[in-house]
Amino acid sequence: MADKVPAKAWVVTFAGTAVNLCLGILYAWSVWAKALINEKMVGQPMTGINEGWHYLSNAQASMPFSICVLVFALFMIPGGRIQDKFGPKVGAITGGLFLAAGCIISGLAKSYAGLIIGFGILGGIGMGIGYAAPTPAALKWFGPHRRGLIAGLVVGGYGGAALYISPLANYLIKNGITYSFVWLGIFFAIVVIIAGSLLAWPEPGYVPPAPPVKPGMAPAAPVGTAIDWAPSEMVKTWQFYALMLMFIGTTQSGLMVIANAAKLMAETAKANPEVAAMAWLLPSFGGAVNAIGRVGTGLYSDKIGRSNAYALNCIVSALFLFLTPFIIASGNVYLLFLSLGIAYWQYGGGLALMPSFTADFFGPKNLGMNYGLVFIGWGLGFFMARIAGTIRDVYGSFDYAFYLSGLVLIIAVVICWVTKRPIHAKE
Amino acid sequence: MGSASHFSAASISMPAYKPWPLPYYLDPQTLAVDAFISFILAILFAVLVNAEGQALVATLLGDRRPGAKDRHHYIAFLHLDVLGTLCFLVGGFGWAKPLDIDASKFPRPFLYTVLARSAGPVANLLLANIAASIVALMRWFGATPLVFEMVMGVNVTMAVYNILPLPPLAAGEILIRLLPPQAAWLLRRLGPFALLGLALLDRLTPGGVISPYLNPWVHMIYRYILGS
Repeated sequence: MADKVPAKAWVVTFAGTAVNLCLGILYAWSVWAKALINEKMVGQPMTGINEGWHYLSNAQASMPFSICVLVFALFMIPGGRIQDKFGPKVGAITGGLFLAAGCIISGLAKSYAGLIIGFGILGGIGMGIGYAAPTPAALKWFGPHRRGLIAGLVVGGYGGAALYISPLANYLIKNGITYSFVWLGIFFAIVVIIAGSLLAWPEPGYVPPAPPVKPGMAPAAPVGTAIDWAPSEMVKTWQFYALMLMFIGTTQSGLMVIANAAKLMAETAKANPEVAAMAWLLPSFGGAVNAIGRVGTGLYSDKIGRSNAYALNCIVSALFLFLTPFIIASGNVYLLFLSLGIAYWQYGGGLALMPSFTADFFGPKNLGMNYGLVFIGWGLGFFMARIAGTIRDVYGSFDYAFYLSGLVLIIAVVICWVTKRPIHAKE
Repeated sequence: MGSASHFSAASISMPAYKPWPLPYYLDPQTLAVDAFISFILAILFAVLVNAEGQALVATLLGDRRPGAKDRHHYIAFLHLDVLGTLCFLVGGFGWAKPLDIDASKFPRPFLYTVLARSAGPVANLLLANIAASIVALMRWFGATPLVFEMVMGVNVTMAVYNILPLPPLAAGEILIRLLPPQAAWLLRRLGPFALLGLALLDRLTPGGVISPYLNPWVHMIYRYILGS
């Protein structure tokens, strides 16, 4: 058994990050929305560099984005299938080309319908098919002791896209909306074809290197399964539902804080008016911490174990959720940013941990499809975020929502501790 | 942040934009690309969760089918039924490709069939709830969640119309378990056409035939789920 991964493994990892950096274009929609919206001139033609375009209303401008999200969700599981069947090259390049075509069509059509069909439908198809490809491909090269870091790096690309696509689109849009769409489309096509063709599975029979054994110490017990579970086998294990519950746990608290971040700022500002002046920092701060949290959590999950990393993130996060009402009352902006940062970190970390858990429990072969099913937990996590709003309406403050969310996190940690990987009948 | 942006029941019940009709019917005179595409997407989601919901409950209750091609694939397009989709376009409701459930594998065939078939509309209501969460979230951010309202609307409509006692709708599937084999066979063959005809009749009759009885339920459940 080799003790070092081949160089190809790292090439695949960073190619995966590059593909995800392109697919994260969804985050930049607001740049175009801003250029297209003019409530007072809806339907009237634009002039100058944007000749041929017409102004959109707020409602119209959110349409391509929403449609993109739905199509993305519809195509994620078929995308996992494509990657499990035809390999990551086909998945990533098909996805990337759909996205590129979508961007170019959006640009050239210069119309509302063009944006819906190009950005919404073709872009969504591209993201759905492409998203499933890079992470499982990279994970197959590494032993379980490295999965956390690798998943973090690849998934981090998607989050990291928020950091560069908006400024890039902002820069390109100075030459016109069409120009920005067409050039981003061409850019994506080039990057995805190059990076996508670097994605590859290891040769059959490849054994990822085991963790280095220190002299005088017993080799570590294997954390992952040696058997590749089929999705139909996976859904019959209780561990699958436990993973979903754990996903709900991290998502609900993360989204609750993220969704209410602006409002929390406003409430803190009541005690300290200077806080309001710092509200503009929030989105970039959140995006950065979210992306770093993915890589960071992945990194230490390899050292201290997946369950411990999950528990650490959730317990610290729960602690701060319990403290948030006091922080708001204190009006201390640094404590508020710290507490928001921890929520963003924990949410990003959860997105990096869950694919690794899925790979540890059910093997890398069908990871595309299997993770797609575990991801349903993310969708259900939305529930809790909504309950927070209801609690605020009933009690006039978020306090109980925070306590409840913290409690759910603690329960998720307990579930995480009692959940051990299932043993396949063939083991 | 002004008080207007605070999340409250009032901001939920009065959107600042013109919502699409509920239930949504295709109308050639007002057909628009955004509504049409949202409608198609909502149908795909509704059909997907309806069929997979039935499949999941049937499997959990004992109708296990290792390697079955008609379930657990989560690919919406493969769950589309020709007449069911046509019915969506005509009448705003429809059905997924009928799922084969073998009641003889159940320890309690009738009760478990009822549970497995009802899982379809229940799954639709669950999805409507998830969509409602996204609607609420988007309204917090000041975005316009028309598409997700469409997903809610189509799912609630599909769930409610499942009480029509004609197969392949849930109530119809339960009903034919109670009929003698001959009648059940006939009803299974005619059911989809009868439903399609009913939908057409409903659209062509001023005031409608079934919609006056079912649409108030659609509206009530929709409002309840949205919390307003």
